[in-house]
Order: sequence, then C-alpha cells, then structure tokens
Amino acid sequence: MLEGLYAAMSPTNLFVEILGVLIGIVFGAIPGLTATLGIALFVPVTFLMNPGAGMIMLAGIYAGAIFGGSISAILINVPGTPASIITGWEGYALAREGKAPLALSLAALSSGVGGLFSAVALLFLTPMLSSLALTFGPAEYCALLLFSFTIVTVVLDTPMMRNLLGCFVGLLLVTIGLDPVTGAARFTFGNADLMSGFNLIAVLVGFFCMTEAVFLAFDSLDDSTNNEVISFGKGNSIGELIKTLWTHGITYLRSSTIGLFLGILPAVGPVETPFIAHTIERKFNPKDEKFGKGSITGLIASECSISANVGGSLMPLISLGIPGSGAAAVFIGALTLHGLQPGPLLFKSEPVLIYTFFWGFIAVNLFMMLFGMFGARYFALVLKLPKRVLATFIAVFSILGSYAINNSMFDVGVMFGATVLALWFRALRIPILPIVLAVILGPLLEQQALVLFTTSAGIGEVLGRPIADGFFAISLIIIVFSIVRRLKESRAKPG
Amino acid sequence: MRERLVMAMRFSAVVGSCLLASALVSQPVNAEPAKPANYPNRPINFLVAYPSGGGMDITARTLAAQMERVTGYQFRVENRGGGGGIIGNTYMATQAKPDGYTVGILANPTMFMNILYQGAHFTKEDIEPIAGITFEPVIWATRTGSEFGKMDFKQILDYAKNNPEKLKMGVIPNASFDIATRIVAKQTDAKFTIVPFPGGKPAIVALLGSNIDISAIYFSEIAQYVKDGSLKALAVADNKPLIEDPQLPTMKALNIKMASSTWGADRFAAVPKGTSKEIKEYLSYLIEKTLADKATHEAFKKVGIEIEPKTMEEQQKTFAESYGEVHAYLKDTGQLKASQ
Amino acid sequence: MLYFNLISFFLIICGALVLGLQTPDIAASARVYPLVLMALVLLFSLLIVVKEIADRAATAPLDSRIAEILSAPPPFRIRLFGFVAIWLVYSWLLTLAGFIVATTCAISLSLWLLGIRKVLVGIVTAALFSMVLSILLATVLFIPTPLGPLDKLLIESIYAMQH
Repeated sequence: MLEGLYAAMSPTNLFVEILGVLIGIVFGAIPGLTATLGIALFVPVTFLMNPGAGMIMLAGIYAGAIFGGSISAILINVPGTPASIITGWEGYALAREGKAPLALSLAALSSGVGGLFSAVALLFLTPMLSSLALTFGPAEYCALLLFSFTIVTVVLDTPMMRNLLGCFVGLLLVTIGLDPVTGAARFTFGNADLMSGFNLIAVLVGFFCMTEAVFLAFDSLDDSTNNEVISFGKGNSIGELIKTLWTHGITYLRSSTIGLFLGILPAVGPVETPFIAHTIERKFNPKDEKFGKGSITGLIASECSISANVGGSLMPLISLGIPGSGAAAVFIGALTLHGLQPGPLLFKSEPVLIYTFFWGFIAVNLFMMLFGMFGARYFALVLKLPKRVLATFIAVFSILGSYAINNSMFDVGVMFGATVLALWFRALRIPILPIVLAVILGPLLEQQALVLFTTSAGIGEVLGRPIADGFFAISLIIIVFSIVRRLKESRAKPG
Repeated sequence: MRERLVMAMRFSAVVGSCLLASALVSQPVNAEPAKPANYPNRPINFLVAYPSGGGMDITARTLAAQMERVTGYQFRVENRGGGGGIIGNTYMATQAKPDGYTVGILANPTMFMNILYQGAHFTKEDIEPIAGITFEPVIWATRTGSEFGKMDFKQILDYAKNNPEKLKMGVIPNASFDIATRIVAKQTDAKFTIVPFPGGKPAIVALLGSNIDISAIYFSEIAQYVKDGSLKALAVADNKPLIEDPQLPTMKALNIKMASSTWGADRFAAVPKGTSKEIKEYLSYLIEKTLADKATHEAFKKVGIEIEPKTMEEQQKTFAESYGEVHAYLKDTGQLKASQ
Repeated sequence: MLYFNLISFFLIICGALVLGLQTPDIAASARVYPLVLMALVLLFSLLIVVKEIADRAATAPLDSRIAEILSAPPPFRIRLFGFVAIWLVYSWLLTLAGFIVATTCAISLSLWLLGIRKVLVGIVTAALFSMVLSILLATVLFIPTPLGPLDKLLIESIYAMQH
C-alpha cells in the first residue's frame, strides 16, 4: 500500500494527475462533451504512458469532467455534462443572487469531499463493498427504480398529474428501438436509425444545452438590457467555505454515502445519482424553503453524491471487472487495452499498480478541489463573454457534441427534437425533470422488470428480499405523506 | 519460422493474380502487391459498429496499433454504435465511401441478423470481406459453487429435460448466444427459462449474483472468473476445440448438430462494395502481414484475444457459408424477415 | 391558452396512438410494457384535458420565458427564428460543404444575426476557431468530421508533414 503511495507521488504521476484533471475540467465544462466521451478520446493518448500513469490520467479526466460540468451549469445554466443538471438548478440560482464565487467554490469543495470520501473507501474497503454490486438482483433494482420515480414525481411542486404524465411520456419514448426480449425492431417505422433508440446524451443536450442557447440568443437581441449573463459578485473567504463542513457536515456525509452506494451498483451512474441524493436531502431538510432554487444544502448534496459516485463505480470495476457507469465501461476497455484485465485477479497480480492508482485517485480529487476553489475567478471569465457569443458557441458545441457520440447526424436530429419537446412541454407546464429521469432510467426499468418476471416464482419471493422491501416501504411512506400534505394544503386555501 | 513460410505462401496465393508471372506464386517470396498510387495519403479509419470499450472496439484498437507498427501508416478507430451493430453496419454498407479510407472491423452473424431478422436496408453484397481476424465461439458457463457447478454439460441438459423451465439461462436475445442455446434445447429436449440480457457484463453480474444458473457467453469475457475459480465453462458451441480450453466438450463430442464456425463472433475486416481491386488487395495484404507477425499475436493475447487470421478468399468463403447457415436457421424457425 | 393546451394534449394522445398502431408487429412478450405505458399516457392526458376544461377560468398562464418570446416585437422573433434556422441548416450543410466551411459560415452568420458590432472580427474568429478545432480533432482527439474539399486538403497536408 505504501509502495503505491510513493509511486503515486512520483513527478511523472503528479504531472499526469494535474494534466488529467485540467483536461477533464475543460472537457466537462464544454456543453455536449461528456466524461464518457472524454475518457474514450484520451484512451489512445494513454498508450504513450505506463499503465499506472495512464489509469491515473483517465481517472483525473473522469473526476475533472464531472466537476467541470458544474462550472458551466452554475455560471450560464448549461450543464456541461448530464451529471450537473441538479447542480445547475441550485448553483445558477445562487449565481443570479450574485453568489457565483460561493457557488463555484462550494461545488469544488463538496465535489472534493465526495471524491475524497469515495477515494478513501476505495483504498480500504474495495474488496468488502464491491460484493454489494452482486447482492442487487432484479427485485432490488425494480424497488430502487420505483423509489426514484416516486420521489421525483412526489417532490416537485407542479401538479401531480402533469408530473406523472411527463414520467410516462419519457418511459414510452425510450421503448423505441430494439426490444429487450427478442432483439427485434419496435416502434421504428422501418427506420434503421431509430433501431438504436434515442441516444440519451443527445436527448439531454437538447433538453438543457440547446434550449438554453435559444433563450440566451433571445436575451441577446435586446440591446437595451445588460448583455452580461450575470455579474460575478464579490469573492468570499475560504474560511466561510470551510465552515460549511461543520454547519452542513451531516449533508456532506449523507450525500457522499448515497453517492458511493449508488456508484457501486452496476446500473446506476453519475447522471441519476444527484437526483436521488438531492431529493433525499430535501426530505431531511423540510424547512429549507430554497431547495431547488439556490439552496446551499442542495448544492452540496448534488456535488458530493456525483463525485462519490465516481469513486464508487471504480470499486466493482477494479475488483470484479463490472462497470458501474457508462464512463466506467470505457475505463474497462482502456485497462484491457493496456493488457490489464480488471477483475478478481487484478488485485492479486498487480497490487502495487492498484494501490498506485488508488493513491493517485486521492491526489486527483485533491487537485480538483484546489483548482476549483482557487480557480473560480478564472472560470468566471466566461461571464465576460456577451450573450450572443455564448449562445452561438453553445449551439456549435451542442451540435458537435451530439454528432461526436456516434459520429452520426441522426443524433443531431434527436438533439433538435429534444429541444423542441423541452420548449413545448415547458409551455404546457409539464416539468422536464420526470421526463429526464424516465429517459435515463427507462431502459433499465424495463430490463430489470423483465428479468424479475421471467425468473421469480411469485410475489412471495420478491417480498423475501429485505433490501427490496425497504425501498418499497419507503416509497409507500413518501406517497402517503405527500397525499396527506397535498390534502392539507388544498384545505388550507379553499376554492 | 515454418509458420511464417506458410503465411507467406498464403499471401502469394491471394495476391498472385496481380503479379505478372504466375511462376512466382509457388515460391515463398515477399509477394507484396503494387502500392496503389497516392494511397494512403491520410489516416485510414477502422469503423466499429459498437461504442468504445467493448470486445469489437478492443479488437479494432489493437489491430490499429499493430498496423501502425508493422506498416508505418496511420490507422484510426471510428465508433458508430447503436442498435446492436445495425447503425454502424448500415453506414458501412450504404454510406461509407469506397475509397479505401473506411475499413469496417465487423462481426458475423450479427451483421447477417441485421439483414435477415431485423430488416436492415442493405444486403450482404454491399460489403466485401478482405481478411479474417478471429472467430470466437459461444460457450456456456455456470457458477462453480452452484448445484450445476458439480455437473457436466450432459447432466445439465438431462436435468433441464426432466425439470422443464427450472433452469434459468441468460442470453443476449437473437444473437449467437440465444440461437446456439435454442439449437441445443431443440435437439436435446432440454427446456430452459430463457432470460434476456442487454450484454455480456450484465449477464455475468446476474450469474455471479445467483440470479441465473447458466449463461451463454464468450470465454474471453469470463476468463478471469474461470481462473479465480468462481465460474466454470461447460461446453463450446462449435465443432472444434476452443483454443483457450481444449478440454471443453464440443458440440460434435456431445452429438449435437451445429454449424461450424457460425454461432459466435466472426470478426473480420471489410470494405464497402465498389472499392478498387488494387486498394482491396493492398489492404488485405497489409492486414495479413500484420496478423502474421509474432508480436501481433502477443499483443492480441495480452488483451485476451486469440487471433485466427484468414486470407481474403478464406474469409469470403466463410462469409458465404455462414450466411447460408443463418438464413437456413431463420427460415426453419419462421423468423426470416418477409423480404428476404 | 386553453386551445393551445387542448391541442397539445390531443397531439400527445395521437403520438401514443400512432405507437399503439405498431404493436401488432411486436412479439407478445415485448408488447406488454409499452402497452401499459401507452394506456397510462392516454389516461393522464385525458384526465388533464378534462380538468383543464372543467376549471376553465383557473387556467394558469403560459410559462413566463415562453410567454416573453411570444410577446416580443416581430423583428426579435424573426431574428430568433433565423438563429434556430442557421443551426438547422448548419447540421445539413456539414455533410455537404465539410466541417471548416460550414462551421465558419454558421458562426459568423449567427453572431451577425444576434447583433455583433464588429462583423469582420466575428468572421475572423469563426474561421480561426474552425481551423484550430479541426486541427485539434484530427491530431489529438481523432474525432472524424465530415470532410469537405478544404478539410481533406488540411488532413492530407498534416499527414504529409508527419511522414
């Protein structure tokens, strides 16, 4: 273990740690370029290095990109990666209040805390915790997914019927493609491109990036108003940030744990994690009026959980060879190309390399935190750009980003379609969030429900699984509580 | 050394036609075909119909790196994933320019299934194979610690016959995994509960987590779990022994009739229809030369792939035969797309 | 806005029904899940429609951002429409004219339309951006871009320099 520490501190490795994080931050901050794409693109570059340095660099890109996405989310309300959607809500609202520096450095701090939490867990608990990935069968996944949908539809203040409709429309949209039972085309109207379904990244770029470009373009037309997006506001003391570690300590801990746990699960990645962590934290802070509209607690919950998820997803990857997210799957490919097969044997055959990587991952998170906390003012240079320039370049990157996923113009079309859908549903006051969650989790839900129905003997077998029961019970309690609350509210204001 | 000579002779057999004197063919000389004028003058793209990180992507990237080493030209990997390969394969067949700068690293019978079962808008004539890289057959595996870990494949089939639908079998729907399993089930009267998975990794997770009993899978995907003792390979869906584990019973040994070298992943290089003969032969030569190199074998072994190079002619023969087998299977089971 | 809402929900219902028409082609085991979803989409759309008609007076106004765009003076709306049109045409032009030409044109046009004062600076920036990005894509990131004559020339000269 110590040998790994020394190796991780070698000048070469320190250099790739910093380089990886910087590349990741830039990559993540550009709308349309995701962590997965970043890792995939830099795999060939790592061939020039030894496997340890290569792995650390990719981990740096992964962690950096996840944080970088939050920078553009906070400053211009355009999530650079889909993982930053929730951070964008809270952070952009804070930024509009003139607290952009606070939001940015707080995002960096909580991202760092979450990352370090998971990195330490990675270092000491990997063999123990990674077996969690195997205890999750179809019953558990179905229960967890039901739980996620429940909290999202129940928590939003918009009318329940619209939340549910959004959810079902999203779930229905992602059934287009190849069906999971027979592998035959379903709802494709004979169109070959549709057989791959709607690409998730393209849909999310349309929902959040292109839509925002349209709004920014509209705002820039009126020359009479201030053409800067928001003013950056005054700097804040690091002391103030550190203080949140005490005042919001429990939030940090809770969200990091949730992020880590969801990261270990093979089917839940950084995109869906903040939704769950954020809503759970909201349940624990019922008095925080600003939740979703510029809450510090909400921002910490979102960022902590995403970064902890990154470390969590590396656990089953290293010790079982099972990827915990899309980015992790590319990571496995990269390791394999370096001649390392991630899995149960890797720990035994390459212990020094693994521990070098684990220590390197800790260093990566430290660098990310430092860059974020002290570099906030430089990121903010983006805000000096006029809105018309921002709108133009967000549009370019939204199109190029969608194209680069599969080198396909069809995905660009999907991105435009998603933009139209987002604007239309916004006009209808159907919230976008349930649709987003449905689009992200829909395929997993159908797949797991299918496995559950083909393999389980009956309802008794499902109820015999305590983890699943726990999620079902919590979902039920949340539903009952929210019905009671809504009834009370409607009685309070007659008519 | 002997192996090299044989390979060299194979090259000459393939490219002999473009040499002036047929007398040269019989001699193991360096039968390099004439380099096409002005080709290549930019990087050559290897098109992969799957996203990065998977088996096909690793095959293409390893080949690209080795091709750069052996030939000195530049090779890039271009991923066009989606729809179980159908997007990339359709692009290769209908949109890629036949200028020698797009070489598909493709897999059968997936591509044939795209055409014959899913109704993709191209035919097998739109694609011309130029070299075979490897064939990896489907195998079946179970958890060592389970009750089936103590049985051999024959006993398991008997169990599935006497206890219909009790055995949970993980497959990827309507790919080699699924079809090989159904062929076995039909001939031995075994009855499985077939559980579909979207890929090899989720099936392995379910197998390790005891949610299914057996999975149809590739050996390379489970090699490490076999080595560490958690999983056990049962049988191979081919008629010749598996290179990685020759002890594994073949279909022939088990008296099950199954087409040879069909149900698995036949990975090969191909160009779009209309690519000039000159370029085709030159590319084919470059790939064969790279695959015959000893260091290439080592590089592939390092990423868990055993290569089995085939010449252009051999691959074209396999291509046609395998198409016939897939067509026949789908026709027999009534699943053939109406227009085919 | 009641009519807009009613028409929209009617369109959602139609969308679900169009998908529904295709269900006979799907294997029975893969049909149940989408059918259930379709039924739910229909049910909730109808419920919302009924509710909207019932409390007609209470119908809430449009989303504020969208309303702002719809109530903007016509020149603004035309320019915004132009902005969207540029990027739609760009996606189509990309495969025809190649990356460098299409990107330079689209960025310059978009900046001009949104009211940049120094048009020449805009064009130069756009051209530089496309050139630098396309060199970066070709040499470091290896993302293949749609190749026009200019892109081919660039890539071939980079290749010639490397050899």
